Amino acid sequence: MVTLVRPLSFARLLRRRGMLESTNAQLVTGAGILLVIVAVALIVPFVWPYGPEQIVTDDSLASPSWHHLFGADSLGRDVFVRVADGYRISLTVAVGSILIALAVGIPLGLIAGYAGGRIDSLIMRPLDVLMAFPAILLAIVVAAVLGTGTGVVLLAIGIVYVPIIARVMRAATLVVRREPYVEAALARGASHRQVLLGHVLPNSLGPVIVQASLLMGVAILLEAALSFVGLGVRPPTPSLGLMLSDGRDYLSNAPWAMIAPGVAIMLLVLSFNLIGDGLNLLLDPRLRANGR
Amino acid sequence: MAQALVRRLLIAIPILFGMSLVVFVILRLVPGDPARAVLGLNATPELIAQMHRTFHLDDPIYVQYLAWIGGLVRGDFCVDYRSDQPIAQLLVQDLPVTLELVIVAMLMSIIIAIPLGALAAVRQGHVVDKVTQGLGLVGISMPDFWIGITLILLFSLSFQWFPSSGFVPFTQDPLQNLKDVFLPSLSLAVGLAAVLVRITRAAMLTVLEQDFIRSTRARGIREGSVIVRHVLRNAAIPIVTVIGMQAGYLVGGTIVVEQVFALPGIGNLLLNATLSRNYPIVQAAVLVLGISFVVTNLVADLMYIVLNPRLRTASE
Repeated sequence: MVTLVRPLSFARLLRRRGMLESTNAQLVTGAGILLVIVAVALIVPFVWPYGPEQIVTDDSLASPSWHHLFGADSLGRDVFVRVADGYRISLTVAVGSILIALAVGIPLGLIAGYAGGRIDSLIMRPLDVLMAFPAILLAIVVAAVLGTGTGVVLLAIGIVYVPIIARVMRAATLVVRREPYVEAALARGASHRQVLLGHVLPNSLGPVIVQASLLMGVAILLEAALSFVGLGVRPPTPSLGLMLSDGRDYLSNAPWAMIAPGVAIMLLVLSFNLIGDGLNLLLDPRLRANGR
Repeated sequence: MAQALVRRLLIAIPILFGMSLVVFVILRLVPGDPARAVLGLNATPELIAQMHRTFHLDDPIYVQYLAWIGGLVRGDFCVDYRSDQPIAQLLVQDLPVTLELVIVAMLMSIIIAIPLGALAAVRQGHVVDKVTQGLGLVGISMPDFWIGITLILLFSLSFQWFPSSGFVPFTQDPLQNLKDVFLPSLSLAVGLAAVLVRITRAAMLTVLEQDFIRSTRARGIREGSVIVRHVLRNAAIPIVTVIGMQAGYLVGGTIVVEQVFALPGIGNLLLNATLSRNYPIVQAAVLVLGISFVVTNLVADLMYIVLNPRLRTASE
């Protein structure tokens, strides 16, 4: 049989639609930065001559050199290895909090959007109240009640994100549940559970994934802010926010102790923002069409 | 339009009610006796008993809530057990600082972002556009408190142009007041400006491809006039809406920035109270900041309704 239309490979399909060109730059740059950061976080603390919590009093506030690439802090701890270890904490909090938010927010949004009516109101109204608080304020409230520590920060940010994920999931579900294939599945006698898990859930996840990658960046900023004010990760764990807080006290004679963790946070957040923007561009044809 | 306005106002009521419930629950979720948590281990039994009476801690939970909300409606936020000052007085002292910070930051971000966003849209695809977009991405990726510390390093410690901390009220010394809030507001404004640049660019690009812009250009009207009088004006609705919505987030941002610059605002009050487990103040400050956030969003929604010609004409 002669094929009239050459089958398109996925890459060619993307390129023909202008998707590969437009997303390459953002997605690839974001993913590239993130990969380097993950590698630094995983490798450096184990191979570097200094440990993240190792105190070398003679090197107190030492300026950047071959011994200490980013200098040393007031206790003589190497800033580079602390930044690398700080990345591990930041990534743990970002991934952990998003997983909590996804685990709770996706089922809530899915059920609210699919069921509609009273169940929708019952689920969404309390979440609307939580969303009415600025994220940092709600995280401070949770920290005020539960105390401080990496686990608490992770939980606090996860709780802050549940309403956001649930709302995005609900909106996507509302669109998908009206699709003909969902109606066809129901007409075929599939149970609501089968339709929800087999059709609605997989087809509604796109916007949630974009939102999750953007929220990862915000989670890192939130963790840094909470640790900076003393409501997050507890010392001596080298959180990037805590390092900024410590570095602030030696601003005039050792600015590197503050500059390095700040730039480190910025790069990590930037990588997630680039990935989020790239994914958004990939999934939203309107944005691709007019280069916005 | 009036219907839409009233509907939006009505939606805010259950949100505020829910918010009061969340804030009320804070004190009750604290493990152990909340009075002991607030007053510390060395508190006398009399003082603990007094706090139990004030907050109705031995009554059923609904009585506690009604007593608390009744007090708030009358403007009675109770007395701070540590300083013996009425909490309402602390809030009244600190709220203007936070509000000033938010307003100045908003103005700064508008001054920075709208010309940049417009330039990027007009020069779409050019170097200027790419640089502006890049700056926008970097701007939203930086923690505002780190921007604050960097500004202190540059403009307070190196050039000594602005103070690194402290606050003089505008009524006492307007010039010093503006100097005091310049750096904190700028550190808040960068993030908002980054968002606004992106919104302004996107909104203007949408208008730029409309037919009426092509006709206006064909009529021979100068490009500058087309951009300012026609494009920017028609792109105003999403821009103004986002400014309003983002102003709410500035309220949250002030919490940490106030601490960096040692400004006596509500955010600083909240943080100090949280760190010292002074829960009645935490409750009051969270409620005031939360309400400011809701009110700002409400104003943004109302502005959207007022500005949107379709919503305006629908009711006329």
